[in-house]
Amino acid sequence: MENFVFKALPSDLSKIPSISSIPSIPKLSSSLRRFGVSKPKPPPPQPQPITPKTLPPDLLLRIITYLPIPSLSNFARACRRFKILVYDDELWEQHLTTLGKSIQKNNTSPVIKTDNFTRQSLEFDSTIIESQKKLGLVPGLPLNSFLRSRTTSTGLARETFKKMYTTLLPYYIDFRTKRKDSRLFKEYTDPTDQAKMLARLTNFGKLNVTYDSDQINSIIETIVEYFENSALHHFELAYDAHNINEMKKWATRLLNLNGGITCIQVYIQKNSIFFDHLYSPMDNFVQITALSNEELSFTPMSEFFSNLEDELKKQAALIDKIFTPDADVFHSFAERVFEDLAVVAAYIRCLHVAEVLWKEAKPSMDKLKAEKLMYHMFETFMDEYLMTELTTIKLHCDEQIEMWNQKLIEKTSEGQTILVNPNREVYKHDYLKYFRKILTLPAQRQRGSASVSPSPTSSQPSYNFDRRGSTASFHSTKSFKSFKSLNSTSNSSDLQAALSNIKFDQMQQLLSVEMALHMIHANKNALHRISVFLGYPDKMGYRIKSTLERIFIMFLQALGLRHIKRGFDTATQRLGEYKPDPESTSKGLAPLVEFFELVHIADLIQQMVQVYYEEEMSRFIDKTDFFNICTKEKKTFEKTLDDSVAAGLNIGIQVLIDHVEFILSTEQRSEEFYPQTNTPLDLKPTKACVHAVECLSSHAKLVVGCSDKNTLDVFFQEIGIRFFGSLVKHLKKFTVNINGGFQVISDLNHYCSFATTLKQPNITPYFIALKELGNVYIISNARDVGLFVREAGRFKGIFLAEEVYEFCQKREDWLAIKHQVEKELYGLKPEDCVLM
Amino acid sequence: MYFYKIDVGETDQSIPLPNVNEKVLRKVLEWCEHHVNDPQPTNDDDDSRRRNTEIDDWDQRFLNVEQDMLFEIILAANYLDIKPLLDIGCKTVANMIKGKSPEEIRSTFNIVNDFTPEEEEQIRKENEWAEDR
Repeated sequence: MENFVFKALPSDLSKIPSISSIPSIPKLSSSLRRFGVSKPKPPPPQPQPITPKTLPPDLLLRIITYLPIPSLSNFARACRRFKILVYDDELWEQHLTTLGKSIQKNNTSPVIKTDNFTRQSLEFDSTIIESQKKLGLVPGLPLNSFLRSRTTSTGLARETFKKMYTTLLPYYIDFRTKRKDSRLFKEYTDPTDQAKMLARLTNFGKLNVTYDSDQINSIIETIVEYFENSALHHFELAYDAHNINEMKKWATRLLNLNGGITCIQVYIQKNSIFFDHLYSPMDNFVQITALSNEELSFTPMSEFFSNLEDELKKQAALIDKIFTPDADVFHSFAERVFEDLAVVAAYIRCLHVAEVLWKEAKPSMDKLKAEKLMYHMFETFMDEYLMTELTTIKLHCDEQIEMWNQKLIEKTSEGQTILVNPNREVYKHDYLKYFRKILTLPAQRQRGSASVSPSPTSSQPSYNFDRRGSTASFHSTKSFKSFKSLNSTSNSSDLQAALSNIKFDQMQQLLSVEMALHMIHANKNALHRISVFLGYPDKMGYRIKSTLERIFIMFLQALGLRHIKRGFDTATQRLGEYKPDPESTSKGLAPLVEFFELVHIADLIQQMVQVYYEEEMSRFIDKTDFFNICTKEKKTFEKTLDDSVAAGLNIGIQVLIDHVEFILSTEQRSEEFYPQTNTPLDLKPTKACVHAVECLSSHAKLVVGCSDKNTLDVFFQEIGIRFFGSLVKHLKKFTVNINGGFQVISDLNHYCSFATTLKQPNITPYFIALKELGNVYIISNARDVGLFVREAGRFKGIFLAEEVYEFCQKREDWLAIKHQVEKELYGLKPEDCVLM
Repeated sequence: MYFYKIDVGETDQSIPLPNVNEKVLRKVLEWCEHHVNDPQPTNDDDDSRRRNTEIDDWDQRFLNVEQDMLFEIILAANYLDIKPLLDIGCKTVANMIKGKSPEEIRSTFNIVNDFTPEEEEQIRKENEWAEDR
C-alpha cells in the first residue's frame, strides 16, 4: 500500500537556479528559458512571467536513462545543457550496474583526485557540494546541473562503459542475422566462455543498445535457452553417471549463464530424498496402538531425522564440490527439504522437528540463514501450536483439579489422620531441596519424559527415579515418626512410598502438593517446548513470549484460585462450623489442626512456585520488571494465598478461643476458687487453666513457620487479646475467698507465663496487669482493698477503677467489706478536710 | 494500490500544493483512479522497469497531451512521489527523443542551438562509438 502524501514543501519548481549565475556560460540563460531552466527571480519591475513548464535536471537524467545508446549522441548535440547531462557519471554508472559491473565510487574518485592537481584544490568545495547534492534529493528540490556535473562526472564511468560497449557490440549485432554460427561461437570455443559471453550479452541487451534491440534480445534469449538445455542435458548425464567433475563443469557454465537456477532445480529434484519415502509420519501413531501406551513414540521419527541428517551432510559435501560457494545451492536444497518436512511437522507437535533440524542444519549452513529458514517453516504452524500448547495446559490444569476434587469427595467419608509433626521445617526444606534439584535437571531429560502426554509417567527412567525418589523420601521422612512401627525396619522404598502415599494423601485433605508438582511439571515442559522457538524475530517472537507468560499465568490462576483458594474456603467453612463438643476427647481441635496443616502445605506450594519462578521463568522474563504480567500474577497468587490464610486464621482464632472458653467453662469448678478453709493449699494452677494453656500453646506451635512473621505476630496478638478478654469474663464468674485468691493468682501466673512465650510485647502487659489484679482477692484489710481499687495506675491503664471494683465485688466477703471499701473510694476522710 | 483523500473546498484545512495546478491534479487523479488496483511495485524491479520501454495503451492515450501538460504531469508525479506515473512519463519523453537528429530534438523541445558547428562536430566524434550500426 502506498500512500500519497501531499507534501507541502515550500520550494517552487519554477525557481530553478539559473545557469546565468555561473560565469562560464552566461549567454545561455536567454536561450534556455524556453526549456530546462528559468530565471530564479524575475527582475523586480516585471511580475512573475508565465514561463513554460520545464523539467529539472534530475528528471531529465531519468528520461535519458530510457534512451537507446545511439540516441544519446544526438541528444548531447542539441544544446550545452543536454551535453552536460549526457556526460554525467550517474547515467553511465547506472548503465554499468545493468551490465553487472559493480561501481565503487569511493575507490575511483580519490584516485582521480590525487592524480589531478587541479581537482585537489576543489576537494573542499566538492564536499560541500556533496552535501548540497544530498539536500537536492528531497523531491521537488531542483538540482543544479552544473554543480552536479562538475563534482561527480569524472568521465571514468563513461570510459569504462565505452570499452565494454565497443567490445560487446560486434557480438551483439552479429545476432541480428546469425544464430548458432555467429561470431561469438566461432571466437569462443570453450562452452564456459560461451556461457559467460552469453550472460554478458543478455545484460547488454537490457540497455536499449540499438533501435532494434528488442528483436536481438529475443534472438539471444532463444540461444541462451538452447545453450542451457544442452548444458542441462550434459549435467544430468553426469549426475546419473556420478561424475562429479563433469557435473561441476557444467554446473559452473550454467551458473555463469544465468545463475544456474534450472541446474540447481534439476539437481534437487533428482535427489532421492524427495521421492524415496522410507519413513511415514504415521508410524509414530501406529506405535501407540501397538504399545497401548499413552505415550507417543518418536522412534520412527527420530530414525527418519537421523537419516535425514546424514543425507544432508552428504549432500552438503557434494554440493560443495559441484557448485561454487556463492551459488547458494545448499540453501535452496535445504529449503526444499524443509518444505517437504513441513507436511510431516503438521502431523506432530513441532517440538522435535525443530530441535533436530536446528542441530543438523547448523554445521553446514551459516547460522543466520538456517534460522531464517526454520522460522519461516514453523511460522505457519506457530499460531496453531501456541494455541494447542495453551489449551493443553489449560486442560491439564482442569484435569488435575477435577481429579483432585473427585478424590476429595471420595475421601470425605474416611476418617482423618492428623499428623502433628514437630520436624516439619526439616521436611519442608528437604522437599524443596529435591524439588529444586528436579527442576534444574538438564532440560533434555525432562523433555523426553513428559513431553506430550500430560501424565509425567514416562520413558526417562533416571529422571523418573529422581522424582519418585524425592517424593518417596519426602513421604518417608514425613511419616517416619507416625509410622515408625510400620516402617522402621522396612527398607524397601517402594513399600514406604506406597504406604506413606496413603497417609500423605489423607493428611492433605484439601490441598495437594502432589498435584501442584504435576502441574508445575506440565507447565515447565510446555515452557521448554515453547522456548525452543524463543528466537523468533519481530512479531512472532513477541507472541511467543506472551504465550509463555500466559501459560505461567494460567498455571498460577488454576493453582491459586481454583485449588488453593477453594481448599481454604472449604477449610475455613469447616472451621466456622465447628462447635465445641463436650464429648470430644482429643485435646486438639481437629479442624484447626487440619487448617494449620493446610497452611503448611499451601506454604510449601507457594515456595515451590517461588522456586519455579526463580529457576524457570526468570529466564524468560525480567524479574525486576514489576509491570510484567507474570510478576504481577505471582504477586496476586501470593496475595490470594495470604488472604486465604488470614481469613482462615481469623476464624481459626475464633474457634480456638471458643474452644478455650469451652474448656474453662466445663472444667473450672467453682469450689476451686472457693475452697473450704481447711483444704490444704497447693499452689498449682488448676486443671482447667493447664488445659486451656496447653490447648493454646499446642496450636500456637502448629502455626509457627507456616506463615510470615507479620501474619504470625498479628495472629498471636489477636490470640493474646481475645484470650485475655475471655479470661476476664471467666474470672468474673467466680466468687473467690482468700485461699481461692491464691489459687487464682497461681492460675494467673500460669497464664502470664504462657503469654510471655508468645513473645508479643504488646500482649504481656495485659497479663501482667491480670496478675496484679489477682491481688485484689488476697488483701484482707478492707481499707487497703479500697486503696487498691483506687490505684488504677498500677494496671498501666489496662483496667479502669470500675473494672477493678467489679472484681472486688466477687470477693466472698464483699458484703462485709463493701461499706468500708466504698467509704475508702468515695467517702470523705479526715485527711480530706483542710482547715481553711 | 493507491488511495487518497482530498477535500476540495469542503474543509478549511486544505493541503497546499503550490506546484500542481488544478488541471494537472485532475489528470493525476484520473491516472490514480485507473491504476488503483495495480499490484504494488516492488523495490527491486527497478531493473526490469528500465528494460521495459513499453507503455500500455491506456497510459499512452492518457499521456497523449500537449508537451507542457506532459511536463507538468511528470513534475507533479515527481513532487507527489508517484513512481509508476513518473516512469511512464519519462519513458514517453524518451520515446519522443529516440532516433531524432539534434535539430529535430531542438525543434521538438523548442530550444536554440548554443553550439558552434565545430563544437557540435566535436561531440559527435566523441560519441562515434555509440552510433547506431
